[in-house]
Amino acid sequence: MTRSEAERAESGQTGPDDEPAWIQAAKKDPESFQYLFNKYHDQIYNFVLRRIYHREMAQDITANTFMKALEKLHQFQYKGIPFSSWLYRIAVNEVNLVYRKRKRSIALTEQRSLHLAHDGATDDSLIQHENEMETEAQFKKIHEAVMQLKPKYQDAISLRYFEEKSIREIAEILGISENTVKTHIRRALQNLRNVL
Amino acid sequence: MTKNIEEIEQLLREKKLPDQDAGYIRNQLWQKILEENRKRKKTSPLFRIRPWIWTLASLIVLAVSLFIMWLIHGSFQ
Repeated sequence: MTRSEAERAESGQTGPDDEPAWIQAAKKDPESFQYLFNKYHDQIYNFVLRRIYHREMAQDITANTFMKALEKLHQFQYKGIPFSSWLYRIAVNEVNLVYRKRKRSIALTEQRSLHLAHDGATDDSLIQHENEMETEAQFKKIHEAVMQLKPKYQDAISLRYFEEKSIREIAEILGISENTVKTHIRRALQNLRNVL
Repeated sequence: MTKNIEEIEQLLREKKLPDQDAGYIRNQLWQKILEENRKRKKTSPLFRIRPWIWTLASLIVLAVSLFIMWLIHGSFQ
C-alpha cells in the first residue's frame, strides 16, 4: 500500500467502490483496516450506546466489535451481505453477550446520565445543555421500555427505529428472514404499547 | 390511554438518542486495536488451535495407543 493510500485511509477520503479493495488490503496488513474502522466507528458506537445506554461500556463493546472484526476478517467474503451488516452483526452479538453475562442490570442502575457536567460558560450553552438533558431523559424512558422486551425484539426495534435500517438490512444483520424481522417488530411494538 | 402502533413508531423515531460525537475516542481506540492485534499474533500458534481439534487429536492418539497395545498383546499369545 502506498503512502498516499495510507493517508487516504486515515482521513477516510476514498470512494464508495474502494471498500472491497480496503478489505482485501486489511486482510494482508492490519493497519489498512483503519479506513474501515474510521468509516464505521461512529455508526457502531452510536448503535451500541443506544442499546446499552452506558458510555464507557459502549466504548468497550465498540472496541471488542472492531477487534473481533479484524481477527475474523479473513472469514469475510462478499456473499450478498455487505461489510457494514457483518460489522453490525458482530456488534449485536457483543451487546447480547454483555447482557447475558450481567443479566440486563447494567445501564439502569449504574448510570444516571450520559452527559458530562456543564461548565455554565454561556446562556446559550446552558440552554443547549438543558435541551440535551431533556432529550436524554426522554430517550432513557424509551430505553427502559425497550429493555423489557426479549433480546431478539430489542435488536429488531433498535435497528429499525434507532438505526433506520430497512427490513432487508435487518434480516442480513440478524441472519433471519424478512418475515421473521417483521414479526419481531410487530410483536415488539405490541408489547411497547403496554409500557409507553 | 394506550397508544396505537403508529404513535409508538413515531415516538421511537422522534425520541431516539441523537448521534454522539465519538471522534475523541476514535484515535485511542484505533491504537488499542492495533496493540491487541500485535499481542494476539505473538501468542504461540499452539494456543490458537481450537479445543475441538485438541479433543479429536487426543481421541485419535488414544485409539492408536489401544490398537498398538492390542497388537502387542496379540503377538505375545
